Amino acid sequence: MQQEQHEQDYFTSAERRKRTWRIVIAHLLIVATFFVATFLWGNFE
Amino acid sequence: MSSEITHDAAHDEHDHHGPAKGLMRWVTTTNHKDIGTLYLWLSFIMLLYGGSMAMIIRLELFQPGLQWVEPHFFNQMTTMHGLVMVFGAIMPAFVGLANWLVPMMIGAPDMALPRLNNWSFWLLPFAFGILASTTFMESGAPAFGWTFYAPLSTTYAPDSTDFFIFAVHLMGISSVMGSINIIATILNMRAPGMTLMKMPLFVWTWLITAYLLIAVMPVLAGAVTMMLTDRHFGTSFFDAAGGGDPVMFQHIFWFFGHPEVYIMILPAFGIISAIIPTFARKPLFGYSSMVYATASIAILSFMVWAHHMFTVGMPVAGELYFMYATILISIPTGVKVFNWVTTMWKGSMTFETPMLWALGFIVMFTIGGFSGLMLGVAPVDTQYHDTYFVVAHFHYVLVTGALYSIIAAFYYWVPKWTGHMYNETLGKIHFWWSTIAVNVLFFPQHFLGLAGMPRRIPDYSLQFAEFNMISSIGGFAFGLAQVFFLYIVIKTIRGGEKATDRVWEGATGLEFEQLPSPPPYHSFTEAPPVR
Ligand code: HEM
Ligand SMILES: [Cu+2]
Repeated sequence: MQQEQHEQDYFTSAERRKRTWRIVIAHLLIVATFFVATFLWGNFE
Repeated sequence: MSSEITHDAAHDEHDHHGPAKGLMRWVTTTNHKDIGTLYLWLSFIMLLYGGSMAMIIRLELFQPGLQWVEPHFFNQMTTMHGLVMVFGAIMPAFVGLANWLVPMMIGAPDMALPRLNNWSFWLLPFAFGILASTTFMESGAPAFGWTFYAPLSTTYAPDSTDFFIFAVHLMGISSVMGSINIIATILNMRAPGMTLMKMPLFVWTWLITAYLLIAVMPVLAGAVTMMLTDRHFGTSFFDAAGGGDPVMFQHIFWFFGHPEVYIMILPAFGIISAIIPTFARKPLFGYSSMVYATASIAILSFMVWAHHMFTVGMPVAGELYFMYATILISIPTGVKVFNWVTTMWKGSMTFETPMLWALGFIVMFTIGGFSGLMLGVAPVDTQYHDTYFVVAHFHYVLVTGALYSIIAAFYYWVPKWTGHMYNETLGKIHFWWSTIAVNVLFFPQHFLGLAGMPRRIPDYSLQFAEFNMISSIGGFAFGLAQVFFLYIVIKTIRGGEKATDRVWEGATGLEFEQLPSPPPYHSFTEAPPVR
């Protein structure tokens, strides 16, 4: 019961959590892109 | 205010508990305030560690000739001093401030990813433990400068370089995870009504800084990874003998390095933009222009890196491009200084300790900005490059800039954090003592540089003797002033006059208007009203 109430809290809704994970994954992709690009640059003749 | 306090009492029945007891509280904590405190203490310890290496440097340079340390050890000291101050003192201090302040400023109960937050912090003591341990290794610590140019850091590097590489990887993971956490918090955890353009500038500057971090920390990680494979796995990224290019290292390093210096100054701009309006009792002049100026500085910071390489050999078109792009950055920077000064114009100003540090920042950061402008002029940089003029420049922007803003932030928010006022007399003594000492320390280094004294050397010719002695005396005095600061910090945490909830007459923002001093362990478990 209390847990359910908590789930509906403004900050902890399932929808908000899903959005957090989308943000994390999108930004990890940016990180990976820059990491890989650095090697391509380092390999440039 | 009282509604907030009763609200918390009412919730005490169920899961709203205080901190756990003992050491495990700090090891397992996921609370943004605890983690903020951990970051700030780590940063202070690193400041004192990096500072003691600076004392060794200034001791050796007190007189011409070799008196105290071997040249090779001297090089280890300049290298470790730079690395520890940049990655250990300045960056973690700003992350600590972000942890404490961003959730309270946007009306969120905590960071978006509290367990990741714990991990981001706890990587750092291991990273710095590994880095510091290299000093005791047979080969000695890395001695190739904080910029670790190849081939000094590859072909000719000591064995301890591998530990350095691992430490940098750990710091990189910590920074990237910390930044993503801050981005997720700011984008996804704001209280209803806290639109982007209502956010305090400290939150804005950190959001932009976090983007700089996620773009350039992987580049740094890539650079040290290439060093590692060059050293052990037969690649030749930076080895001319194998078809690689050592100058490529410098390009990659500075593509990280220049945005990195803005990573260390943008959050400072946010702090100054919070403090000046409070003590001028006027709203910040030009809020939206501040946001746009910060964004412009961040974008431009990716396009100027080769101003560190004017003497390396570049096509003239390259020299000209990097010169003009560098000079362009002074426009948004000038907008900021203009806005701070205009905020004070006709304000009812008072000069409590945080305001003194903020004013010191504006004056002395601007001195560093002007010497930066001089260095950005390619033809004259051929004379200034790798002299003490560069050392003077970056210590004005980093010590009287970044560090001053961190100290200002401490005095400004510590009454909120602890519920105790610091001692105003001691705070003012700390400011004037530091400010006189820091100028005695760094101002003469401009003259030394213009006269041609190279940086990163343990000995120098006789005509540089007087200014070096003056500089060293300033250095010892500045170091001592920060030990005094440690005393003030401990004294304030232990007790002091009770702070009001608002703390400062002119303070604005959710942390001052909606939370008591100190705030409860879990604040804003329900979103606060935002005007
Ligand atoms: C206001 C605009 C600025 C300009 C135009 C500028 C320009 C420059 C230039 C041209 C150099 C290279 C000098 C040389 O090696 O010959 C330099 C070095 C440096 N700057 Fe700045 N700078 C500015 C602001 C800053 C800020 C805000 C920071 C940090 C908070 C900073 C930190 C550094 C550092 C650490 C170095 C030395 C790097 C090294 O070789 O070890 N600068 N700056
Ligand atoms: Cu730069």
